[in-house]
Amino acid sequence: MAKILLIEDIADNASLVKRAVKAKGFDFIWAKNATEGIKIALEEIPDIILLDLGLPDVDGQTLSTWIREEKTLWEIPIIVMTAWPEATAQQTVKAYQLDGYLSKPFNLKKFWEIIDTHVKA
Amino acid sequence: MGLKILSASQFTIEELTDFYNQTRVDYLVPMPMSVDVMAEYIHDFDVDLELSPIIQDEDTSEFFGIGMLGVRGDSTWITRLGVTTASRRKGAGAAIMNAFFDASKKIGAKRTILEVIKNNVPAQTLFERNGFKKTKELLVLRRAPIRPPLSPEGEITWLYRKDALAALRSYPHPLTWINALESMENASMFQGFYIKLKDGTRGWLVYRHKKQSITHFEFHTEYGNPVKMARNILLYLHLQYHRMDSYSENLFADDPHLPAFFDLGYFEAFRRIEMVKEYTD
Repeated sequence: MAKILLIEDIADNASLVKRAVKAKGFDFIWAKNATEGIKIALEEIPDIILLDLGLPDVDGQTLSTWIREEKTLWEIPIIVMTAWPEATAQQTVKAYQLDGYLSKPFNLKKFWEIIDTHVKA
Repeated sequence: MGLKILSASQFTIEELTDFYNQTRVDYLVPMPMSVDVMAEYIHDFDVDLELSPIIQDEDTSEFFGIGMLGVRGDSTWITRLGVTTASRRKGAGAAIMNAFFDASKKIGAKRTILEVIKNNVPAQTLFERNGFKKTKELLVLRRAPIRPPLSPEGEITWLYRKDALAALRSYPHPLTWINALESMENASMFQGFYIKLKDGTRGWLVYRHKKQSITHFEFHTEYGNPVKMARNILLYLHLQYHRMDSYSENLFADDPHLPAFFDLGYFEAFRRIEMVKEYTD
């Protein structure tokens, strides 16, 4: 069973993602800040990481660089979730060598398009 | 529905952090904060909690909005202003602004400064209606940690905290609140580099070294070519900190050093507009 780690500080957004991925039978893990996120990622080795860029302790861009430095995590796809304009989101993905982005507010069709590209259920 | 205005000093940092984060959930650039980040912010940017308003429902004490006011000399600075989604259009924003103006007048401030995201036109319009004028356009740049492919030219010396502060004291141009001398004096890790190039170009960079990133850059060219000076210092900086994430906040849109940032892989994350209200009486 594929395992999705969501690193997101807003509980309502986490509930939305949880409902979507549970309905398709994925395992869902939630971390509500960067410190918890890296710890859980190292313990659970998820199949994909969904990363909110606006986190309270360390922002998502910086956290992505920590994840990429960990040998056990560096091949895991990281998809950022952001309300940034498209051009900024694309630049962030390119500069931080991430695997894609999902625009907020949450669009279920686009969500599954990008998850299905990177993960098998 | 009545509102009550309380001073932020009546609440714990944990409560203030929770209030602030509640107001930011639907922002384009939400910038939520942890308790530690909030405490550092209040300290470094001279936020006066006594003068910072918290708005609640008069009857139920439900939290509606927050604002923080920095105070330095005869200037005040509005920051961390937000109203919860459910309580917007009920007068909480106006109550916060009035509290800022009353506090600024009470302490004899000559001006109030704020920064707003450039794309947030409704907020800018609201501030203009409250007497603020746009003064500067500011850039926020980011750079992922990548080792630069080249080595710098020139003779580079480290500026330790005391030397970096002395350099910033000599800076001949205005600085925004977060990059001002007072912010750097308050910051724990502040340092810089001085460079001399063969053609006589010379200048310096000062910056904050945080646990997870390098931030708050200010460049000054004493003589010669600003782009060449900045490019060589940035090359040196990113060789020293090749595993650190970097972001530079509130660079002026006409800063002559900007091309060097883009040469070194920085990209524009967003822009802010600085606005100022002067008190004439």
